[in-house]
Amino acid sequence: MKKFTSNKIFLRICGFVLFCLLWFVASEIIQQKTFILPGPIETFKYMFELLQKPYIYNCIGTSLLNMIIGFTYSFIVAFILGVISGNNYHFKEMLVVPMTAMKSVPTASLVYLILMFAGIIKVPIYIVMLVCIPIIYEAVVSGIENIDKVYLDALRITNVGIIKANVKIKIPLAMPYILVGISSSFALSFKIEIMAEVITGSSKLGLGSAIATSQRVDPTNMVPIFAYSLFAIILMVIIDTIISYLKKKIVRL
Amino acid sequence: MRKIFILFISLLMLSACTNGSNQDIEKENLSIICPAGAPALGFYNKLDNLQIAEAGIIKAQVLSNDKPDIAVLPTNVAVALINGGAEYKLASTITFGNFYICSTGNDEDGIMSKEDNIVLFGEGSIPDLVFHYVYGNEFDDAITYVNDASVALREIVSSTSEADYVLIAQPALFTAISKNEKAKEYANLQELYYEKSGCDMYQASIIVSNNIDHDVAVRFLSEVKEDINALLENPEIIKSVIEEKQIAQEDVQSLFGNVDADISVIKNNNGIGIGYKNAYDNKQAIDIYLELFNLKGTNEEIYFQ
Repeated sequence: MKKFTSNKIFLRICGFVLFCLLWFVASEIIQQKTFILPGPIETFKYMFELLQKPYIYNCIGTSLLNMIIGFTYSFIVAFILGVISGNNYHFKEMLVVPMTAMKSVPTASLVYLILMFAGIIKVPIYIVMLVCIPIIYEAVVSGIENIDKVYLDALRITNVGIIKANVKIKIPLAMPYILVGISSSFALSFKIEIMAEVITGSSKLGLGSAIATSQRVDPTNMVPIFAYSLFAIILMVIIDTIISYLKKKIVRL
Repeated sequence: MRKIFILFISLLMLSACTNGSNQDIEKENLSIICPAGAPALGFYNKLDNLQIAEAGIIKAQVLSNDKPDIAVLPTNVAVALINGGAEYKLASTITFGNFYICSTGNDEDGIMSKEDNIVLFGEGSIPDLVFHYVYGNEFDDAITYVNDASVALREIVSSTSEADYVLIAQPALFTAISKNEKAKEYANLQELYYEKSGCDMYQASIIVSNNIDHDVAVRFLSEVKEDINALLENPEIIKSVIEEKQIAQEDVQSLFGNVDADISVIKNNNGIGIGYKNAYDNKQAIDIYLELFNLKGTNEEIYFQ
């Protein structure tokens, strides 16, 4: 019995059930439920209805695809820049200002800036890139800079080529830092992608577009917004779980 | 590491393939971008090429490298962009105002006064300017601003709201009245604007890219005019088109919002203010409207002829 109640999955289920109970109580206390705080029953009912139509799958697929494309590009760019910066002080210092700017510029401003160069459809992809690049970049740089001095001294003695040194030794040693950067930016990229869709207010598919549309159709009904948000949360939990599993696998390698 | 690298390269190739196929399809037809609501209704017969976006996004798109062929913008914004060098011409106006004052039922005497709580949306933009043009500054001390029409709608429907009068657009007003028994239309700002200025309110207009063939543009505009006239004659035509093209409900909502509400409002004396008037033929009325925004008279060069 003690083993069962200490089980991670059981505890997480208990937490979820408790959350739903609190949510239910809060929505019952508030008058005009659908207007302010729809309860879990109405929300899950609406989610079930959505699951029977292709629309929600198209929205989830579009948002996920935009996120993955944006994240992939940002990883490649940030990884290359990070490895160079980790090995070259001058290059790293040159990138301090652009990376700080990318981290600081308001995301809403980015939307309008990016629109000048790319169509509405590509805005979420570029937003994800611009938000994730600094995070992954810093993770890669920190990872390489925090390699034990013993290994760096050994590298100098053995006179290994710079590419081989990075690929075979530095990057694997920096992997824990890089994985932390990947997992934190991956989760953020999904939220950012949805937000970019809401700001553009585009009629194209995506969870953010679905949220914006539901507000436009009936701003007094919060049930769709809660439902779409829950879909996004569930997706992120699944993705987080996959990333944690992959992280453990890679670290073991 | 090798497997992860291969996965990333595959995703890159996938995204590249997706981008290529979309561009080929777009070149075959005129691309249209417009705000949701009343303007979108005018393109119910051109849904394949229609994209909805916020007005600010449309403005940026018109100035970007990825320009749409046809765009719908607030008339003042359209004129400012064209005067600023955007390669477009002002072709026609398709919405003529859909702003109303709604009484929430909280005011006992039922007459809007300085002592009441008045809620407006869009501070500094069209709704605010029209309100002040009609009423002057008489009610300034009583005004509270909210961001947009959806927040204004919540002020009418919420049982805890203290607002007495709320500026709202159709079909949000239709939704508000259906959800709050005490709410009713207090004033029609389009009528009041007409009484004061002698002209219609040329709210949202179509602009046409200079890169389109002139005959193609003329044909397109003529089709839009016919479609809008048909819509005014029989608002149910939208539903026929939706059924014929088998458009999913969610896609319809993303384009038009609540279609049933739209149809009811159009049937009720065209409360949504949709129509079609050639811009060049109504230059004088447009110039009068643009005075709201401190814009001087327009030059003939900006008009599509």
